[in-house]
Amino acid sequence: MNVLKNLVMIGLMLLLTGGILLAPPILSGQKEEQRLHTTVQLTHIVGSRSKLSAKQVARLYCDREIEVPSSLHMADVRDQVGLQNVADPGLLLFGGDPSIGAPLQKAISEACVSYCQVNSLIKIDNRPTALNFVFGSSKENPYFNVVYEEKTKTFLHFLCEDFTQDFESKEDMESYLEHIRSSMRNYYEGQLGLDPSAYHSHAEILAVTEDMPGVYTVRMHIGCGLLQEGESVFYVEEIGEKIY
Amino acid sequence: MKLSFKFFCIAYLAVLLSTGLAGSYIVYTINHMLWDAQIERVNAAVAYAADSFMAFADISDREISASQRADATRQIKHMLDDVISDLDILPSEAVSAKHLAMQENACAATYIKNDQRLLMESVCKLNTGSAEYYLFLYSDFTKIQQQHDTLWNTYGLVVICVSIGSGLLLFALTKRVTTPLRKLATVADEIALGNYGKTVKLTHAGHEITALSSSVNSMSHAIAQKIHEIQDELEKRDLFVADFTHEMKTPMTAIIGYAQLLRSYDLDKSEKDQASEAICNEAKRLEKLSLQLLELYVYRNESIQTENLDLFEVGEQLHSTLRFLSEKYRVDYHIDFHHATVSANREMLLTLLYNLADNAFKASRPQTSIRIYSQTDATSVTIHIEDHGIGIAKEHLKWITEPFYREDKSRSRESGGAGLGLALCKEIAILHATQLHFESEKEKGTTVSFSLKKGGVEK
Repeated sequence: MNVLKNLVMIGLMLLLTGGILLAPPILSGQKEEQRLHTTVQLTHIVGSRSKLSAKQVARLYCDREIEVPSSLHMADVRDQVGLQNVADPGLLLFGGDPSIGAPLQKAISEACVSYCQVNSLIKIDNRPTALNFVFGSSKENPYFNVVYEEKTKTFLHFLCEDFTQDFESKEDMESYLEHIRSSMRNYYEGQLGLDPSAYHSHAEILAVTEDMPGVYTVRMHIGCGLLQEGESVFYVEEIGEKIY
Repeated sequence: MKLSFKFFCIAYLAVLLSTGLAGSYIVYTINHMLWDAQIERVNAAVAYAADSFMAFADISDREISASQRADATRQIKHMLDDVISDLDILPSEAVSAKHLAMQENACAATYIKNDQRLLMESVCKLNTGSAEYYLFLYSDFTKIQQQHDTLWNTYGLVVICVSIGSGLLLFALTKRVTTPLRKLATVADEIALGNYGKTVKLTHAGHEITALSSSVNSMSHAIAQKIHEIQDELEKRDLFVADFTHEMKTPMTAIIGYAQLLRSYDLDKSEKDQASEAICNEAKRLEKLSLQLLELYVYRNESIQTENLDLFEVGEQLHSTLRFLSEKYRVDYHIDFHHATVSANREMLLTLLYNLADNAFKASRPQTSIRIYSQTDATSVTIHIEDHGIGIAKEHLKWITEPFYREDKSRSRESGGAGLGLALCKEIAILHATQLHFESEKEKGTTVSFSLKKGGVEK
């Protein structure tokens, strides 16, 4: 009788051991299986993106926190939207002054324009934001090159070589150049709030001819742009090479 | 069921249950934590991807083209860590009705099995203002599930190891605990069978069991001693009965013999007187024997009332009774008691002194003397009864105070003794919380001493 009791006891213990060994994994597996058939609603609030201003973009660029992506896939684009995207900012750069912006705009419109837009996703304060970099250039006179951020209208680089303009007097010519210089200054120091060391700008006369009396044809070189940390001003052609 | 087996079962079940519960809880908690952590990471990644796509949408005025979507996909994937294994952005035309029915600007996730992989498919429906787009993100949960399985396998292994380990350990432990108990039980059985004094030697058995074995050993020794004492008592009793029967038989035989003689034969007057005399003497001897036995019985079963006695006065009283014995045995005596106060029962003390003196007289040769004197110290008074008689052999000293014991039976019977005198003295001494001390040398004499407690102030 005792032997039987002992055997029953041993059997119960083995059963319990098996139960403790197998029951939790099986129950857990069943629970996992149930979980796999449920839909999980993910908490998400749309709209938590960073909104940047032109000042911020300029500062981030100078601090090397954003880089201009490659424009290798620039193509010849002559559709109106593309041209407009390149030409219109010229007005903005010069404070919307038609006396400066309009000739430039015309010149750009008439040049063979290569244009592209490159979207770039960056992370600011751990939140995403996208920047739309517009590249425009021409291969004919006047040679120009522009890189700006389309969303914030931040001019990163602007270059216009051999830009020709007629003036009635030398004073008009000087006044025009000074106007360009002060416009660029106003933009970078006034609008973007940068130090003079954070950008470069120049407006120079390359040649003056008087084909007709009283009409001075001036060939100019206009250029401006942001400098990244550690960069310094180079001769404009080198800058052109460097940028692209 | 054996106690050891019960203990083993209970302990094993306790260990198993606690291991099972603790292990299950730990594994379940870890699995839950890992799973929830992964979901949190996926949640964060999905939210970031949705916001990133909306950021792209912000810089596009129109619908986002396929190439733009591809570019956005590439850039978003680049920004995300490897929690998202795949990402796709689809327009509403490319999705199923189930997804079209989703709430706007919301994300939902389901689990799908792809080959042997477990993936979480997170779908976000995003409205950019100009169109609706669906963000599909895939996170690989295969590793998490494998970790889940590994943890449960580890749990199983631990339970098996703990079961086997604890089973063996508990088995060894119960054996260690119960083996000494079995040894103790064996010893107890042997004692019960009569092997008194049997002991058990247990080492490294734990404090309690060692204490138990010491107690059993003490008990065994005590039983053996008690049995020995009982056997001694029985022997003494048998001896007592034998001696008593003998002492009774001898005078009874003489009485019956002489009575039959008187009844059966026609004796002359002198023969009748002789027979009557003999019957009377033997009857008196029987009477004395019975009185002494009665006294012995009373002393053994009684407690005494003591009083403070002046030893000198006791000596004076003794003097009056010893004079007769001195004349009878023609032995002189001297009593030298100080004026000391002792705590004793007067009648018993006198009986004790008388009996010891009587023995001294009997042992002494005529024309010699006996001395009865006292010595006092700080707390007690020692009384000595000294004779220069025949002495007692050393081998008899041990038995001298036993009832009916006589060194020389013939001599004492002649004097009418039955060997109960010193037995009575011993009982009186015991009642006075003292004992008789014998110093004797054959043919040189005997000194019997005993001490009494002082009582009161010495004069």
